[in-house]
Amino acid sequence: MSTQTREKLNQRLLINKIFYKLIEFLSFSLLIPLGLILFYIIKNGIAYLNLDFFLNMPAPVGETGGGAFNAIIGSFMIVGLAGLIAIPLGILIGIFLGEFKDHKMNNLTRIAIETLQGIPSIIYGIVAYVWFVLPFGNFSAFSASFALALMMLPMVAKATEETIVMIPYTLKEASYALGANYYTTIIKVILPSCMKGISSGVLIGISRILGETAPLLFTAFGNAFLNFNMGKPMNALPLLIYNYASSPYQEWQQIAWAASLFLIIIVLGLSIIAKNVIK
Amino acid sequence: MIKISNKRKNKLFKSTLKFSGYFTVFLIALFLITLIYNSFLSLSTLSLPFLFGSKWEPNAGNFGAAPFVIGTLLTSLLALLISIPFSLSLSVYIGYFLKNKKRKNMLETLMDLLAGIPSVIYGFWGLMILVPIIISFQTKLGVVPYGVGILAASLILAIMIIPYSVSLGKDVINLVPSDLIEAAIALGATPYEVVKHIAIPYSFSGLFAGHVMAFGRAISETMAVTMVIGNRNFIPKSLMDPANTLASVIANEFGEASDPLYVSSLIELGLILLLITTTVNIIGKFIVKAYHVHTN
Amino acid sequence: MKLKTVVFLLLLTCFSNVLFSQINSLQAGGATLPYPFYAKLFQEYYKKTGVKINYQPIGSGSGIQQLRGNRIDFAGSELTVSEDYINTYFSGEIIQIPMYATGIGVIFNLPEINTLKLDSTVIADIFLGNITKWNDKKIQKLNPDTKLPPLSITPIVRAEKSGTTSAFTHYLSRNSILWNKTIGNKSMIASAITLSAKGNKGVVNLAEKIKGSITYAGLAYIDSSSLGIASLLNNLNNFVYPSVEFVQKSVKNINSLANLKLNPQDSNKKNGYPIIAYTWILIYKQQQTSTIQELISWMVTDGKKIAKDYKFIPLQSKIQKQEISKINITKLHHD
Repeated sequence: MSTQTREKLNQRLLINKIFYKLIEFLSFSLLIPLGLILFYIIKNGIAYLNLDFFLNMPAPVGETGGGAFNAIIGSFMIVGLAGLIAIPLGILIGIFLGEFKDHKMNNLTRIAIETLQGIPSIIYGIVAYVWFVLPFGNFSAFSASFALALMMLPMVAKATEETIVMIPYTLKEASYALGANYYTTIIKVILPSCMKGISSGVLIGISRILGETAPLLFTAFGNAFLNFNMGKPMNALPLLIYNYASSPYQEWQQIAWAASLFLIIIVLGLSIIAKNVIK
Repeated sequence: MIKISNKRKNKLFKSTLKFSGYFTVFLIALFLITLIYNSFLSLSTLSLPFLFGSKWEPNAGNFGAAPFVIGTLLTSLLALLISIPFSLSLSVYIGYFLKNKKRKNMLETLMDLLAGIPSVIYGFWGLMILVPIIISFQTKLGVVPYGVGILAASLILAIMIIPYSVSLGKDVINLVPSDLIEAAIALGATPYEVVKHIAIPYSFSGLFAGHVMAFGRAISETMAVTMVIGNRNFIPKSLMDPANTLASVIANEFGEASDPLYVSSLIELGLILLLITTTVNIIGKFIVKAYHVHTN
Repeated sequence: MKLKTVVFLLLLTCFSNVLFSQINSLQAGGATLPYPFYAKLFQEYYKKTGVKINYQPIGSGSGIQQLRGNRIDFAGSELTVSEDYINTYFSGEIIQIPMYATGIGVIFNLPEINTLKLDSTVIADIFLGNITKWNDKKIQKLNPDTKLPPLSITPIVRAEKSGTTSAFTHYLSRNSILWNKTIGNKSMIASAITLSAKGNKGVVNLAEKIKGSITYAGLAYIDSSSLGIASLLNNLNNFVYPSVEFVQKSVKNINSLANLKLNPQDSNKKNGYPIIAYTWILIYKQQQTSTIQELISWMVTDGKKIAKDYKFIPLQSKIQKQEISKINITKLHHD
């Protein structure tokens, strides 16, 4: 090999090495912000993730021993109702999208679902405010649940559609061959085999809306007290974090860190479960 | 349970399914109508000057969307620019280079973790940890040490949107046909040259689409931005300036808007935001379809 | 089926309380200024009577808006509304009851400097962007004995309509012709050179982070912060520090409701602090219930003990009596 060719070769190999190292570096450097975020949340939150946090009600400014009890309950209730609304509806929509491919509304429905998915979270809050808070004349947990249900709907619908489309047609044929009708086939045969995919979509949806704040701002209003009535204002974890985070009070900031840690553990836990369920 | 005949069950079920389709479309239509109807006042009285108006003074009755449209586009574009080196690296690294399952899983979990952190927690962390860092950085530079502002918002947005462009990017790089790659290797190409001349050009549309969607995500982000953008309702003059985005001004002012024009203007801002995000998303989806971008 | 029972139980829990718990509760919202005080007050009221008053610090402007639509039972605000406004936007007569008064302090973030003397002209110039550095001659002139650093000044204002802002702008408008011409006594400062944050707590939080910043907040907020507090020039040419004692001097001087309502006055007392904000409770006259009436009378009587801890000063009782008398005691309807 001539020196010229050798030089050129070495040059190419060098560029390659630099490139590879650069890519590796940039990829793993994303660990830095993630590490910083998780580190600070764990560091600042772990000390205050105690019994007081879980069992006590929020305390007035300047008092210690405050907790997030009503916010925790509120979050679960609001998200629970949102799920109750979004899951059945989402599954139905997903089945429709997957099964009725030639129906005239199919494309339009798909476009509607895709549009829903891209809507900024604050807009859900505004629309829920106009549809539920204004006419009923008061803030309510229910209006918040509705906004969150709308946000969760596309995730459940898409997960259902993607799963149901992958079920081999032979399963359906076998069911028909045994004399089952359409309804029984879908509900008793096809859906159970879709459970994995659907529950993965559901878990991801729930973990997403648990952390949403913007839709709650004009709907749930927040509550200093414990409340089980969905027709009245309710406190929730993201609201608590938002309010306490921008305050200059040490006790409140501590609770905000603890609440953030708690929320992250649940949200990340749910998505890890969801990912592993697919496998 | 009431006894329904099988035939009836079928019909009922099929109707329910079709109804769910109609219902969804109806829901979206109602959504749009609500927004348009409630912004009608400002749409009709202020019309086009609203879009380009640079004054937002509720007390004086002046409403203009320009500061927020610019704030939104600036922060999202800057976030996209900052994220590109990282998202491209990750897409190529995970999609092409990485054969080690363990490392692959770790990086993919990293992406999931980042995507899963709620927005308000990003905002909280940004306010408590990132803003002080930016303040000391600005003090060293000799500029006014706001801390909050476009820079802070863009940095946090960049971290938030990387998982979105990577999730599509790594798939398209991975699915570059192996015979093309092997042919290039057979001709003596280094991995760098394979990536530069084969993988990226082949999957360019997919990479582009992934970044378009990440851009759309940045535009619609509300809480994290509201907490670190400085809330100044004026057109920013530099990247170090505080500003406001469409989403954050609505979050700040919607609760107290008094006169009908004020409310209407805020909702019109929401409409503008919705139009921008929908357009961006449509462009992204169109690219995926038109160029037959292959994903799983 | 198991699923059916679960769903049924869930729905039952969600809606069952419509019958029970929330009969004795009120929804309220508004000013952030009295929030530390009100939070404690309403907690004590709950302990005493079992009535839950859910007060959310959404800002005076938001409080008035939500009251307008009757989505809350009463609003807390340092802003009062004019007759015109009531006639245009409200669906009925509004009773505005002044509750307490407190001082609004001007606070700043300068290491090692605990207090400064400032007057309204200088403050107006700062917030308008005419004075940009702390070691400006005008500031130095007022504080000859203090070494001022060459730091940039970052003024921080409230991001939403606020009664606290209103008291602040009234002070500036009274004494600075420039301010009066440009921004005036508005409840929101729209300026291209300021930062803003939501709530009293938001501005203090931001100010604590940014060196060289300056902002304004209620007494209850500034005492617990680590920021420097300014002594302000009052209309008798004295620099007065915002202590409870000096705020009280100004408050004692108010003896008519008309003075209070729309134009917060200067102190007219030698050591009276010049920026006073009054917290009001606004309710629809038609919507009063025995619950609200009991609450309000408790707030002005028993509330006095708690008020002191939070730097709130009770008003002269004859002023409150004028408004409270508008609450028609014979027209009670129980909810």
